[in-house]
Amino acid sequence: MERSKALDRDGQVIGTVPQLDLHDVAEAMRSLSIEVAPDESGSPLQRLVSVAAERVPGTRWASVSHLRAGRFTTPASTDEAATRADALQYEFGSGPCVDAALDDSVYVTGDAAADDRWPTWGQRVASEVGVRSVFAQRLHLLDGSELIASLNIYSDQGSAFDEQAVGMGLVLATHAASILSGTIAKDRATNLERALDSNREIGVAMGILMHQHRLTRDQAFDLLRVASQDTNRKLADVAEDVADTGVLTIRRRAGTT
Amino acid sequence: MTSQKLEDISVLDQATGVVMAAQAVDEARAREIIAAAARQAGQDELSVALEVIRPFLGDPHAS
Repeated sequence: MERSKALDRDGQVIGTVPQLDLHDVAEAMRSLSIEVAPDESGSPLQRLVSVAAERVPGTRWASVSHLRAGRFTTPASTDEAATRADALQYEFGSGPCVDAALDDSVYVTGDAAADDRWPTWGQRVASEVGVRSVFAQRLHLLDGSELIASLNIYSDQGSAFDEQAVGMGLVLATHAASILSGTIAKDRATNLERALDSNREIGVAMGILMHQHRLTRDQAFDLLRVASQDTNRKLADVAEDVADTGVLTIRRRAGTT
Repeated sequence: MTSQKLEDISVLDQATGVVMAAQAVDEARAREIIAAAARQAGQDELSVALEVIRPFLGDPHAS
């Protein structure tokens, strides 16, 4: 395969990268933009792993790992095999996908069972799941996101991922990370909007209670909080009721005085 | 949005609640009353809202 030079910011050659068929790359990115873009019909992550499995040559299974608050999960996978291959890595605390996420790196194995970087995992995943090679890379998400993610691509063939596959995977992952970052930002904005709406209901309810019971703002808020705990309901829901009905109902729990 | 802006919104919402309870009107009408009072007094709505909730800022039984 033809290779082109990779340059650093100063124009120095730091390596070579395979020349991809631009038509294939453009088609993959177009497909990803259409299929991974957030909509109402499904998880963008699920669509991402499907596109990766279809577009990266040699792929049999694909998944995405999330690392949040020190815990790995697999929110999307094309198949139970990918989920199990991920879970084995979480169990060991190491493996190409876990390490790609933690090290902010790209890992490609030849024969996974013979890879001395992950000898135990490689042998177990080969014998128990049928994974023979792996291509894992971290997804670079929005700055400030508490989430770390990796795109995990598996094959049931040894040394399945050649330079073209890796090149295609890298392009897809970069584009996907950009789309997913947009999704995260949109979700964050939606959550903030909801929080602000809830906060406004709480303010109105506080005002009603302040007038009805001659309470200070803090006392009115405490009353809502107690009612929320007492009825095991969200504070915003209790506030909405007060705003709608003008009445706050506090039901004492059994055993309290 | 700054924390001061959030506090201002909160003051407006609390004043709305006070007007709802005091005049037995719904939320939309309470907001209209505050806006009309502001226009009449030549002040902004936040200033009117602060006056509405002032009795509840300190001693709860003062007013």
